[in-house]
Parts: sequence; C-alpha cells; structure tokens
Amino acid sequence: MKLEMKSKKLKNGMLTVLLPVLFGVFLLLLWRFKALHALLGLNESQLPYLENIWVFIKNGGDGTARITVNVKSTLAVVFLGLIIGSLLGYFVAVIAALFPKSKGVLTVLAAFNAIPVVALAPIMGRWFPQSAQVAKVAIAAILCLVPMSVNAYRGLTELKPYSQDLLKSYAASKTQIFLKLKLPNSVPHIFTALKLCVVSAMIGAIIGEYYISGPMIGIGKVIRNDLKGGRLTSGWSHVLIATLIGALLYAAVLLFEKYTVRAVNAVKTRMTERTVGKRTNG
Amino acid sequence: MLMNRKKAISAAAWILGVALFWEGIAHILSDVAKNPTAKQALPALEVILRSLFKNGFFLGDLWVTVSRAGIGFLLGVTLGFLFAVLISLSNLLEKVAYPYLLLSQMIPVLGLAPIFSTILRDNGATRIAICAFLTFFPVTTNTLAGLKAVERAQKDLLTSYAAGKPTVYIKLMVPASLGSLFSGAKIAAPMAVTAAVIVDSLGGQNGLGSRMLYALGGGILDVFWACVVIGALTGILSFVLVGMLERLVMPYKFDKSLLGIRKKAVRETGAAAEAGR
Repeated sequence: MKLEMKSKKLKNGMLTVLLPVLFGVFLLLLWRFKALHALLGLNESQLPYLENIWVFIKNGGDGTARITVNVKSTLAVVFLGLIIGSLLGYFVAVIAALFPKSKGVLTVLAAFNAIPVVALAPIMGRWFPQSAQVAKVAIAAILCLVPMSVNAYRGLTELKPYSQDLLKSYAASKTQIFLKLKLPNSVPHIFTALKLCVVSAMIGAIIGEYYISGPMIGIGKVIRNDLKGGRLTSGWSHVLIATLIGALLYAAVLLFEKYTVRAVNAVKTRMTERTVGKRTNG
Repeated sequence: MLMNRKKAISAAAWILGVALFWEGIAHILSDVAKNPTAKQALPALEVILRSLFKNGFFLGDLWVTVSRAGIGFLLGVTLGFLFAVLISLSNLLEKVAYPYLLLSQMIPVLGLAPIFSTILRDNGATRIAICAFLTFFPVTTNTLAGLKAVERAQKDLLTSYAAGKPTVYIKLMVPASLGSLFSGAKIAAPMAVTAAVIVDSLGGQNGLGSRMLYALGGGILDVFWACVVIGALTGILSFVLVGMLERLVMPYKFDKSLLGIRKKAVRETGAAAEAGR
C-alpha cells in the first residue's frame, strides 16, 4: 500500500517535470524551424533565429559583448544588493517589532517603495557620484529592503496565540523571548521575502545598469545598447541569460529554504522532546 | 471609530515627520554643509511642491501613462482570472503552464519592452501589453490559490443538487475566489503604474516617464523631482483604489455584521450537506 503510494507520487513528480519540459522543447522547435516567425508574421530583425542565439551564447559573446564579463558584473551587484538590502530590511523589522511605536517606519518604507524604479536610478546616480557600481548596488538594496522588512516583521510579530504569554510566565527575559520564539518564527517569512528579493535585486541591478551612465559593462547596459543599436541576437541572448540567472537564483533560494526549514523543525522537535522527557521524568 | 481616528492621527504625524526630516536634511546639505550638488541630490520639499503646482500636476502626461497602465491592468486582470479558472479546471494545464508563469516573472522588463515594441510597432500598445504582462502573474497565482481553497463539502453539496460545472463556478468558486483575486490585483496595480513609467522612458514622446527623463537630461531638476513624487503618489493611489473597489464589490469581507450573515449561511449549507449524507 505504502509502496504503491510512493510509486504514484514518483510518477506524479516525473510528470510535473516532464510535461513542462516537453512543452518547452516544442516551443523551441517551433522557433528553430521558423514556424514561430511564420505564425506571428515576424522577420529576423524582429525575432532573431534560435541558431544564431545559440551560436552567440556558445561562443561566449562576440567582439563587442563578452557574456562572462557582463554576467560577473551584474551578479556582483545582485549579491551585494541582496545581502545589504535584506540585512537592513531585517534590522528595520526587528526595530519595529521591539518598539511598537516605531511601526510607522514600515508604512513610510512602503510609501517610498512606490517611487518608480526608473526615477530611483538617476537619484542614486546623483547620491553616489563616485562609483556607478555603488549606485547600482544601492538600487538593488533599496528594492530588497521593503519586501524583507514587511515579511520579517510579520514573522516576528504573528506568533502562535499565548506562546509569548507562556514564555513570560516562565520568567523568560525579553532577549530570551526574542531569541527562542520570535527569531525562529520569522525564518519561514525570511524565505518568503528572499524569493521576492532575488527577483527585485535582479530588476534593480539591470535597471541600474540601464540608466546610470558608467562603464560599458553589465547585462542591463548590453541590453540597452544592443536592442537600440539593432544587435538583436546579442540583446536577446542577454535577455535570455538574465531570465535564466533569475530562475536559478530563485531555485537556489527554494533549495536553501527546504534545508533550513527542515533544520529549524528538527531543532524544534528536539527541544519539545527534551521538555516532554523532562516532564515525564520529573 | 476611535481606532480609526487614532490611526489617522498617527499616519498624519508620520507624514509630517518625514516631510520635516526631508526638509531638514535638504537644508543642512545645501546651507550648512554647502554641498554644491545638494540641490540636485535632494531638493527641498517646497521647491518640489511649487513645481508641482506650476506644472498643473503634469495632468496631460499623467493621463497618458495612467490610461495605458489602466487598460493594461484591466486586460491583465481579466486574462489572469480566466487563465486561473482554466488552470483550476485542468491538472495537465497547471503542470505545463505553472513553471513558465514563474519563469516569465524573471524576464527583465527592460529587455522585454523593446522586444514587445519591435513586435507590436506601437509605443501605446507596448505599454498596454507590458502592463498586462506584469499584472497577469500575481492575479493568476492568487486567484488560483483562492479557487483551490474552496471547501470540498461546499462543492459536493452543489454537485449533489445536480449542479453542472458552470453553475458550481458561477455560484461558488468565483465568488469564493474574489478575495484572492483582489489581493493579486492590489499587488499588481502599483506594478502596472511603474511598468508604464518605465516603458514611457524608453522612447515615448509623452507620458510621465519620458517627461521625467527629459527633465533630467535638461537639468530641470525640480520638474524631475516633481515627476518622481507624482509617480510615487500614483502608485500608492492605484493600490488604494483597488482596495476601495474591493470594499465596494465584497462589503461582507470588511463589515463584521454582514460577515455574520454570510458565515451563518455557510454554516447552514454545511449543516445541510451533513444532513444530506
């Protein structure tokens, strides 16, 4: 019975992977044999041929744009922005959770989040005129700040009913309540935020590269020059690569989440077992 | 009521505080620190406000941007909702489409917009398409979650009354998923505004985004900052508007007394389902 269920589950899982892959291959074949061009009434100057994109990526770019150089530059911005923005966001959430009077900070941040990103880029360019790279990181960090602070705040404050009262009745100090109850409770919410942040950081990095004048480097810069200058194959290749990087980062967060949440749960059960054991012994 | 007034006062206090803080920093930068670029990096709030009034709040450009964002948003909500219903009907479709929905979110808008514009060959249509594209995902995923959260007993009850799939959807599933649809729409509305501004800035002749970048290029910083403020306010307003529409369409979600009636109705149908078994 159990085995049957397991095999059914496995079959289901395989289908979940297989079906989308088949669909993707089907689309690529349509593109490769120009059926997509015929179907949408497009020519090569609107939708480049798949084999040209493939050759471009396989060669690692061409004389004007080297893929690895651009990817490295963009990834550096994304990671730095992600780390700085998430840490700051979590810090703000902790402050807001510890001092309820400062809760309004979150609303103010959310309001600032409504500033169009296009405007954010030139502003940051002016705030950090020394280095375009720093300005880009700042944009990515700001875009991460809000999702992280809002979600982390939710995790730090939406506790199980009576759990805080219980700890208080054990004469737990504020630090203990924070470390043993609020912090672990916020972990799943951190991951919800990180999933949003990864996408935001990527958007921020690319928009920063697009609008901030600086050295000719980064995926956003290349996309801008290529799509404006009619180098469609290179432009499309970089758009595809950016999409792929976004998806990979997202998948990485998912994996990281799976293992961390599992670890946190393991610690939790161990703690409960210990207290239950103590109680039965005593 | 008392709570509301308290909330309003604290919100007003925060707005005032931020405005004073801004004004203070701006003056310290330009007058005390004598920073030569201060007027560009952070102009005083009064300068921005004066520019806003002088330019009539940029109503012409605002209308171009907001109307396109609005059409795209409505298109995206409609398509997203229909697609969610389709997915909920077919397990196969969900398996095939879901990863691609997720992947579509990773495509950078700045890369997508020129691609759309070469295919559509019209800036207005590109704006609408991009806004619809960005609206689509949050609406679809949220609505789908709402459709899936409908209780089995309620569905069974309707089926036991010999209701067909269309009836089940019209009378139960769609009303039940409305709340989630609005959650998705609330996420999507500011995104649609931002996207419209981005597409404006990519080479449109009019619209808030192009006005913003022209002002920046021409060094008219007060106009640029005023555009930034108007853009941000529009984003917030779009969120508030969708929230108000939600209140209008489903008052029972907010009015506790109405909720009681609804809950009772649900309980009664639930009891009827139990009795039916």
